Amino acid sequence: MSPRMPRAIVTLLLGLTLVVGSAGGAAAQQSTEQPAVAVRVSPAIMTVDHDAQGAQQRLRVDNTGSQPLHVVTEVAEFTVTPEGTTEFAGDERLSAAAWVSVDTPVFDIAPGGRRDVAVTVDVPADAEAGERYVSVIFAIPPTGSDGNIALTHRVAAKLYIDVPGDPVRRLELGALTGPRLVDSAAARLELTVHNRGNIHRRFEESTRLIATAGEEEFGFQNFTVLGDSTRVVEAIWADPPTFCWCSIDVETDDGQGNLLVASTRILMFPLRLTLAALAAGVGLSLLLAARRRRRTQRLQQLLTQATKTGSTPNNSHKGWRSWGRPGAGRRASVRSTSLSRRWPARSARCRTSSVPSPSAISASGVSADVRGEMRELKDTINGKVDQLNVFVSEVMRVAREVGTEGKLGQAAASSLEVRGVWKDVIESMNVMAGNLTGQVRNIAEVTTAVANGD
Amino acid sequence: MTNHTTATRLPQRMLTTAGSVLLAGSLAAAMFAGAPALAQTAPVTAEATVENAISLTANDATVALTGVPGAAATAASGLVATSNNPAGYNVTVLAGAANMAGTGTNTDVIPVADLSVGGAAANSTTAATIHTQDVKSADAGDAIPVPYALTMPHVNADVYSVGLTFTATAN
Repeated sequence: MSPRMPRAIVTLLLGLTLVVGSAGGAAAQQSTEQPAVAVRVSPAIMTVDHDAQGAQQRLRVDNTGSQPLHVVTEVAEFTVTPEGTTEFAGDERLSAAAWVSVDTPVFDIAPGGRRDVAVTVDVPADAEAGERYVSVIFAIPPTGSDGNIALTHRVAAKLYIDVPGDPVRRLELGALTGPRLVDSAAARLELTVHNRGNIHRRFEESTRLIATAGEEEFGFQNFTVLGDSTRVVEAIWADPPTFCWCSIDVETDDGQGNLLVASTRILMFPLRLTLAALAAGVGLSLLLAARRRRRTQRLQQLLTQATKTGSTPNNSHKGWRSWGRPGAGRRASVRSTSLSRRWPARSARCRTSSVPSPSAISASGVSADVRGEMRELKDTINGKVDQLNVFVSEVMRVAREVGTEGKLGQAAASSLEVRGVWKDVIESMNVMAGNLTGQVRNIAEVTTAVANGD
Repeated sequence: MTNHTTATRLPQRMLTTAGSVLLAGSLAAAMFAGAPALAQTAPVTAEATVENAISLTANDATVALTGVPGAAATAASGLVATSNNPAGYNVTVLAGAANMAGTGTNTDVIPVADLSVGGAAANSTTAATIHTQDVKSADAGDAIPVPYALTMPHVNADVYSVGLTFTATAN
């Protein structure tokens, strides 16, 4: 029992050592991950009303990190680019840099500490009414010399200084632009907003600019346009309709109670889908044509074989129409015997009934005077020839009227008694004629609207 | 006597009990009835004023890029920007000089445009935007990675330095 006690104590001490060591390591790691700079400025944007005695405002600077901060204050004029980037450079006409001073240009803040910086604004008595702009920048210069690139971090507060009087409020909407054609995707629109006045306009949250397209609405980005400046802002129409010649409008007021409207039109059309459908239709037509050609060739081979089988060497070139001619009784007997032996008439009739071919047989059918099973075969063939004549003439009519003469909306007669692949051909042709009619009429409508400038 | 005394005490106890019940009831009624009356006569309005603010947190105060000529030196750093401004904010970077200068009598320089900061070429005249957005940040701030890259030119071996200034501004 006594030897176990030291072992337990040693185990306990080792465990405590590990726990303390890991905790210390974690603490050390955490300390190394502390940010070098962490500073907060509020308010970030401040509107300063005029005070004849000189307005004094407060800007609060917080050190939110764990390192002490050395802060250098700078007053600078600024402008905002059309894209929205703040540039600390100059439009002196709207600058209030000369009117503003701070009480403590340089100061230190301990970790977690706070400093209120007093900003005094003295507006000259002869200043033009409207608004002036200035920024107060709090810069934290780099500390240490570990690297060859020294980083200064700055946070700027913007001051909109109101000069009493009647400001000029005059907004203008420039071009509303977007893609001319949108193919099944979100549409991105850009709007140019000119502020010709000398007081800022803010469009954010509930006062955002809204674009309307029929029943649908979508908003522009939040933005502020300063006096005498221009902004280009964007809106994304995330879910536009598939087909639409859409008119998109943006409305606002010019600051004087007048309505401003900017408009554009976008054609929403699934171009790639349509091309794919057309390609599929053409491919289907080619497949059907190839299949028809194969069947024709196969039937032609069968008929050629039947002709050869039922003919003597002397009249084999005359074919089916030579049968039953006067004085050909012996040859007919030989043909009949041969045909019955090598290609039974019933089998031929059966194949002919199920595999018709308009090009293998004369358009007028078989006219020879035959009897018995050959007569049945003749009647079957002639019946099919008549049926195919009607079929071919119907198909040719639709193709001519739709494709050549431009008579849209035509369709092959549904009363045709055809089955199998021929029925498929009729139906496919009717579908294609209908699709072509619809697409051509849609394109005609759009083209007419474009031509009319709608 | 004893009976008389008992007969006299009983009504007193009853009166005491009844009086206590009436008093307690009156106080309770006053409490329940009086509270709404007080609320109606003295309404309290709670106000919370939230100022707009912007903050910037930087991982590093300096960055070191080291390498031999021809090598691509890189370093990773980052910022966290936080703002409750409804129109968002932007962060730009501006170089303090057109060239990264060496030390002492070394006259070689590295053009600052060769230095890529946050995916954009550094510029000493126009600030490059490394992040912008038109909505307020996430509650805990938006992490903005700032990678540095420089292909070391064939210049004298030395330490070439430049200052970069990051500025966060509300839109």
